[in-house]
Amino acid sequence: MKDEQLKLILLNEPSPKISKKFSDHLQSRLEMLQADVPQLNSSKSMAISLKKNYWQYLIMSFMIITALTILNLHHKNDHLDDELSRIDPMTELTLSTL
Amino acid sequence: MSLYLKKRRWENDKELLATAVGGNSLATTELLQMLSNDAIALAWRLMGTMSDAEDVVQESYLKLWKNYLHFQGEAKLKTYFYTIVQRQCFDQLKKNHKQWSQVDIDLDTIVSEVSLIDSKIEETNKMKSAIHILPPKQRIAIVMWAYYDNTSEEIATKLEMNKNAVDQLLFRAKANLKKYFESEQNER
Repeated sequence: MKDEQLKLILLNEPSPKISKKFSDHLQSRLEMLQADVPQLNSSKSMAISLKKNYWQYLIMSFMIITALTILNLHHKNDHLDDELSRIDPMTELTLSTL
Repeated sequence: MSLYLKKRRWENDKELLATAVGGNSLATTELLQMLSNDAIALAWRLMGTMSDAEDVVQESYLKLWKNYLHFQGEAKLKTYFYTIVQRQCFDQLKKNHKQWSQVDIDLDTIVSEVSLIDSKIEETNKMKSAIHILPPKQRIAIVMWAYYDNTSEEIATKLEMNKNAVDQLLFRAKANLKKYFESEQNER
């Protein structure tokens, strides 16, 4: 018998396959070993930081809008100050004076 | 997030392994389907019984899980995992010092083994291979040669032996198996 014939016989011998029972056992055993994986955690932490940023942007936008509203109101009230400064202090202040 | 991962295909073996180790059951199932059958076949050929093979494969998976960061994705995950299984088998076989140091068997032993294996197959209906009659080192050498096309040098590296010793091992293993198959043919 030649080496190649021997190899052929060995390659044609049947070999076992994993049983369903053992495969299920392995699956549950490995899932119990679940570890903290940095690669996965980095995507999680990215999602968390995005959430944080979202709130930061929201607060900043609120502050900017508030500041603009105050400035706008202040600007509107400027002409009242001008009118008041022109009035004789002795004049009785009524709504019609303004 | 989990829905996103479930729908996603893994870009490479490294990502698949990391996702499985991270607890994604879909990735674990895919990984088990990809690796288990060949791992069981390799362990069974080297160890000789299914229960030993299952023990070895389970231990190998636990090692893979614990040391998943060592896998850098340069080689295929299959190759990497089968190396772990091989090492695990060698370690288990080495534990039986008497068997491990056994160099060879004689023709009479082989002929008696033929009938013993046949009767075992009939009794337990369990699979047996001709290579299981060989002493461990010969078995390893012949498995590496026949199923994985390893050269004497590669086998020598794995067994931490010199090439000449491996050549002798392979020569004896081949001779023993040829005798086994010839005696089996004569019995028929």
